[in-house]
Amino acid sequence: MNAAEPEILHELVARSLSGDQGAYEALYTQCSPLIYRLCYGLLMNRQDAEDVMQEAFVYAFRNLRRFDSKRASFKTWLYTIALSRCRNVYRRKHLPWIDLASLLPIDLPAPRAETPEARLARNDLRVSVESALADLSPALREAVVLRYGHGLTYREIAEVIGCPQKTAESRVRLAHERLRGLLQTEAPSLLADLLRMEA
Amino acid sequence: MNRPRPICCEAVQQHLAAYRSGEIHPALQRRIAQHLHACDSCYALYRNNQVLEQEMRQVLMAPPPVDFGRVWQGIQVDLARPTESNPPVRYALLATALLLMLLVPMTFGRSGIAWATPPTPPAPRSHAVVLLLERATPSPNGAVTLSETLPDTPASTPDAAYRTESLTVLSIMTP
Ligand SMILES: [Zn+2]
Repeated sequence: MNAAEPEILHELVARSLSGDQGAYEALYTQCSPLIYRLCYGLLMNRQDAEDVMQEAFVYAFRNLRRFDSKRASFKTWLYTIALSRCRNVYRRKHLPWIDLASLLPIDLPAPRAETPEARLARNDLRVSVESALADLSPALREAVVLRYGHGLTYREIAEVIGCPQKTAESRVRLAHERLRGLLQTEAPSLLADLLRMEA
Repeated sequence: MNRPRPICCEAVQQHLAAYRSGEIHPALQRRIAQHLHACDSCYALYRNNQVLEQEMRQVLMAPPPVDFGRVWQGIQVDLARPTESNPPVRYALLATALLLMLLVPMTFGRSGIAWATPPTPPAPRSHAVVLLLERATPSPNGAVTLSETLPDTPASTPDAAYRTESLTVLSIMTP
């Protein structure tokens, strides 16, 4: 995770509660990239993600006294707040949709020794993965975003989503199956090609 | 060294994600590793998932850029706004309600007017006294007594208190 260690965040919470305005800003600086990434992963729309992030921080700061460090880490607490707001957005919008124009210019360094052919296959696969992710049901996408976008353990995912750990595990597994199915329909040979090239 | 107990394909596939992240018991971890070594279809699935995970990470880790400074300004503006759920406001409302509950009977009690009959429809404030006088019925000895029909308007305002005082005065002055 790119946010500070839990102890540092908890100290910032304590300072914020004692009236230190700078501590609020520090909490925002530490956690906003994570929260934006979470909201974007779930909503797949930049403006919605920005709005929800703002709402989530306003709620968290207004209710900071309710945060109990014995029950959850600050990061998990904040995730829960942001997630519930994202759910309101996709309930309002009914269908998940994707802002492809803002997703495409991803320019990530290619792994070492990747052939131009493999790189092309990987780019194609990435575009397909993006649209397949957008096609997942909100429940499966939540699990996948928390797992692969945030590296949460199953226990943490269960805590944020509010479900048993087994459910979190099965949602990730179902998401894998669904994604594989979607990729096989949309781009049947992409995954196989890439695996062959990497072998 | 003991060889790990064999495990079926279905169980392996169920635990693949947790196996990769090391979130399972070491004994189960060993059994799955041994199975993957021997089973082509499970190994293919394992590799397949591995690539998929890698791609998902890349997609999910790189959202389009956002102006965090602008969002922070928005947060500060929102925080500066008063909220309805603000505890001091809630307590103030509760205190006012309690005060009203205490003051209303006291005010009416002082004017000596009974209020057991059903209230009449509300009348405009400025006409309250006139209306009451119109409704006042002369007694056989000529004295005007005010009926108990008090307009059903809140008695908490200074205006209402004044009205009640006026009624008392009128009642005394009328022969
Ligand atoms: Zn197998």
